Amino acid sequence: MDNFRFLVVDDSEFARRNMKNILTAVGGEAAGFATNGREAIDQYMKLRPDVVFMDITMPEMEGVEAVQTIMDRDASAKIVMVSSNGYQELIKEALDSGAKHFLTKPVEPTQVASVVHFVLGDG
Amino acid sequence: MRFDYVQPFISSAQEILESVLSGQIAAGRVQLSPAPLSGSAVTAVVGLTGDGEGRVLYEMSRDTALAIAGHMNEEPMVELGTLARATLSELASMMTGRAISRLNDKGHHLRVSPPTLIAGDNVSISNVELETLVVPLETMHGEVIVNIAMTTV
Repeated sequence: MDNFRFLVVDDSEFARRNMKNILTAVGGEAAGFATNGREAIDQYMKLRPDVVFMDITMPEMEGVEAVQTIMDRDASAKIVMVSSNGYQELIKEALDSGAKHFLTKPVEPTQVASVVHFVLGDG
Repeated sequence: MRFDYVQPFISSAQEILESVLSGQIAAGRVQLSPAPLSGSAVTAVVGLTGDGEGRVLYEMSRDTALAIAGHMNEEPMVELGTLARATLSELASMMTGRAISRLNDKGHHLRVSPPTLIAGDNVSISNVELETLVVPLETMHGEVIVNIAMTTV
């Protein structure tokens, strides 16, 4: 899977950088970054990335609300939730909002590569 | 404080440190302390709310903090700058997040606050109403002390 464009949304500089390094290593190209849900919506509508990796707990607007808004505007959006919290109720809430997959931190490169293939319909 | 509440915080911290540092982490003896007290140079504080209320502190020396942040970013760090602080906060968030996920999957309803990182020698954080359990975790970069103060609602 080469040349897919990704948007990483996370309020942690470490998490953005780490996910960028992993996604670049598996053939992705950074379309942009956002630090909260509101920025994520703006960036998504402007950049139209192939896939979004979205944290849940963020200031201003949390990830689940941002996913719902993006899905309302573009039902074909491919969004992967990424969170330090991975309990069943939260995973269900994230998937119900329209996310295609859920990853718990710390993320492993092989796991991210599999998820990219899955959500982009290549695996 | 019930031990079934505390054990997930110890095992989760141990597992996350083993994952991000790619090495074995040895847990020391659990000790009871009268109140959260941090004397270490760097402390990450995560608040807990829901059917258990309190806080978890992750304490370490400045050298250990810089070494762990450097390891996680695959580059040496000599200052506790923005990236190092973000890295240590994210580490605290991952350790606590895994613990509350285990508890919530057993029927609890816990939420965590975003971590706060405090850096400075002889910092004291007290909460006299809560008894505290302290567990040292030995990493290849030095000791990380997990300090859990929680009351069940």
